[in-house]
Amino acid sequence: MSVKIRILTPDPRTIETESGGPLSAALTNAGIPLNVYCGGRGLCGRCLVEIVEGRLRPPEMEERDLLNARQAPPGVRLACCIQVESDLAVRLVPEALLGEVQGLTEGILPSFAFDPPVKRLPFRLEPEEAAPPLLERCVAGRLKLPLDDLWERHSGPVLREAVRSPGDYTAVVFDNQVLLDVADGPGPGPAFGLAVDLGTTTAVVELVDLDRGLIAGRAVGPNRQARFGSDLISRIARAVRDRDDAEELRRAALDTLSALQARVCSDARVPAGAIYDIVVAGNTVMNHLLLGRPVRSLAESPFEADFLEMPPVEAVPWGFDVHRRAKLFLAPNIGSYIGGDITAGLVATGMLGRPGNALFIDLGTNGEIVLKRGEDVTAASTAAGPAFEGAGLSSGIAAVPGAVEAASWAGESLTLSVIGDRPATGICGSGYIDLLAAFLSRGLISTRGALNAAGGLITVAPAVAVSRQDVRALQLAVAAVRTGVALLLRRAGLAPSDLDVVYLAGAFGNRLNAANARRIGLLPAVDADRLRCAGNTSLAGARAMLLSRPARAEAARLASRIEHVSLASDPAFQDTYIRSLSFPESDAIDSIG
Amino acid sequence: MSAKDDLLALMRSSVIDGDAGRAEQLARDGLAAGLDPLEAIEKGYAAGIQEVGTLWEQGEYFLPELVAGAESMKRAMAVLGPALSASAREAGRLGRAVIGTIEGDIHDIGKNLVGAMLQAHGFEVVDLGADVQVDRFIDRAEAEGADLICASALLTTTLFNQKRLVERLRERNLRSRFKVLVGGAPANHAWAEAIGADGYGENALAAVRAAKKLLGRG
Ligand code: B12
Ligand code: FES
Repeated sequence: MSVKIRILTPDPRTIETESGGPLSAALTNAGIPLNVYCGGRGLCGRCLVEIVEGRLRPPEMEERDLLNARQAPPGVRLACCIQVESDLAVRLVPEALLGEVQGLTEGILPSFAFDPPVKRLPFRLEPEEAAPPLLERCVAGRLKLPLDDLWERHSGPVLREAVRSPGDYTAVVFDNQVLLDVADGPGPGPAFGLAVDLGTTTAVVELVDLDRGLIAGRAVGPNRQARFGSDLISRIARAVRDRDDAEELRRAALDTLSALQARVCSDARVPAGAIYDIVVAGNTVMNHLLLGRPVRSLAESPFEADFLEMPPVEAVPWGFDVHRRAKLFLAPNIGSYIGGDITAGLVATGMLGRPGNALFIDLGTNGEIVLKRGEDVTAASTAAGPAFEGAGLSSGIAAVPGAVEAASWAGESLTLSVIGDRPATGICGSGYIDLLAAFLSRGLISTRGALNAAGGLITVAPAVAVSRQDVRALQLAVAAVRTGVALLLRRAGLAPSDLDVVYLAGAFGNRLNAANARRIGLLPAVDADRLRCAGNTSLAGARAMLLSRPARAEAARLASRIEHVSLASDPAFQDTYIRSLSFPESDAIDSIG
Repeated sequence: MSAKDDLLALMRSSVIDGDAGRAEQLARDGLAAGLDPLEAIEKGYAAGIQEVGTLWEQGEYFLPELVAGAESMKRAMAVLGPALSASAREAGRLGRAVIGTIEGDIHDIGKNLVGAMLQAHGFEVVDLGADVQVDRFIDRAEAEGADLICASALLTTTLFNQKRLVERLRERNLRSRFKVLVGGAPANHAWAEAIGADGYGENALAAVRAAKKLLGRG
């Protein structure tokens, strides 16, 4: 039987639905952004709605408790606890409508449901329930947690330790499975999580309010492993040669993250104990070093990983200073040199969930490429080297204040844009891309990369210049990426023009000019409207995994769906690489693909 | 300028321009016109590859031009080589080298380039491929009667296998039999010296110079 639900405010409309289902589902199916935080399981008390007309059964005890805990006025009910049997008239409650969830919309994230693995759920205990033998059965029932051995080992003790008397409590539950914490009353405040981008060169730690999906702060800093060498192989070499060094590398990664966490927590005035969940997106080597796993097999042919994925573990035993039962999850690795950072990036772009052909390029030290052709997905790493992070170039620096991040011609002179609006002290990746394109357009460098300037140097600002060797190093790095793209496209039988969208991710400022990246051959020759600068997708993906269980499930699915291609065994590599070393003649044609 | 000089100049420029098809055709034309193959090599093609090297050192040329130059040289040599007299062949023989990328490493572009340039400059080159076990280097060098072992490494981790190569040569009492030349991005002069190699080359041209010096031809 079909019934009508009249919505009176804020935007009057009438929706029709089949009788028998929960009101929350009828409303969300009609596109109303009702906050069904606990997934309509009657646990969170957030899906408030005011019933103006209609016959309903009175609330059960659990619903009443939740309404009381929310201090809901009479007439207000929980939409997920109401079975729709006959016509209704309702008013939507503004605080129950999910606004934009900042953590899930910042960047280029596709629409993920706000459904964090860590949830705070209120519950109430009557006098006879607050002690054994009823206590555990009551709470497990109320929070819909299974009374299995997970309960025996983890949830039961947490509960017994926290509950001394009847009254209102707040539980912190992980993944609808296990109790992490129980606090009196509404508890001390929101639960927080850390989204971590653990890069070879740079790390980012973001503090995320898991109750509301807000970004509470962010800190960026260099990876302290750098003193063991700037690239992955040098660090592996150290870890392999000496056990103590391996331990030092693990410590250094941990110190990097701890220091950033301390900074962001003190800025936001959030105690470490309020952090219940950590998601790390790092490359395979970083993930191994962080957990102290053996890396030898990653350093020599045939380059295999010791582990690719693992379920969430306890964070404290791994050295994190967070709530003592907080969870740690590493975004799953795809293959030896295609890590969790790429999985996170794919989650962040959502590209594997959309029809058509898509290309994803992450321009870190490794230069990973993922190609989606219809339903088939292949990935390869191209070992571009750290040139686009500024390493090994005479004026190269990371995207920090003082770095030239963009450049273009204004008449006869170059207009530079410098991070932090100060005198230029160096050039970062996006700046080099613009400068190369600018020099090519005026013939200051030839398409072969020969530099036509006195002294083999083009000065762009006092003590900041592009040298002949810089151009050569950039050519090597661009060619690695270009070759990887060309070979993956060739294997899939695609031309650049078959690509519906191309994402370029990386730790660039937001100033990366996609057209210039295409001009120098870093991006394939596709129309400008198909190019997307996606920013730090590794961080965005980690954050999505903190805020959405579907995003986390997606990550696990993705990683197993991708075929890892080793370019080393492709006989066309060398020829393609050598030809890719020359810049494209123009940005419309790419003779390599 | 005589017709012969014209032809030699064309041969030279075919290598400088990296036009392998033209280089090969000119070699045939030269033989048909009765040009001495040794002169075609020395005053034509070899002069061309020298010029490619100079342009590389001036920063004008990069890897693609180097590869194309070496390929042109190779195609011309395939035509001219069989026409050389036995004595000319012997006189032109600089030495025999085995070359490969060291154990654990699959990067072979640099190694291929060094091999091609050695060949373009008159060395006989036996390419062992990539990820070559240390003992295989030595076995093959013995079997080929090589003068020179060239080992390339591109990874910091596999660099150590260059050291093992020298050590194995000593253990097998073959150290004095072969000259060892090492290279690859993470190697340098100090490294070569430290591991007891005979020479180092930072790029393909330096590799040729080092090889010539080691075999007393420079
Ligand atoms: C192309 C490339 C690849 C290709 C190799 C294809 C092939 N068939 O060779 C592919 C994509 C397969 C690859 C893979 C890997 N690579 Co890689 N790769 C590169 C890259 C981009 C260029 C290397 C190159 O060919 N240069 C051009 C040649 C001509 O230069 P060259 O080798 O230095 O050779 C010259 C000189 O060194 C010298 N020379 C060389 N050999 C010899 C020998 C002798 C005897 C002498 C005298 C001289 C000499 O002369 C040559 C000509 O002038 C570099 C980064 C860069 N921007 O340079 C990384 C790089 C070498 N790779 C690196 C790494 C880590 C890897 C991987 C282990 C991991 C990864 N990131 O994918 C894998 C391993 C293989 C696998 N199973 O996947 C790192 C090494 C870091 C380190 N410190 O060890 C680098 C530096 C990139 C980086 N910074 O991360 N790679
Ligand atoms: S959605 Fe949580 S109680 Fe209704």
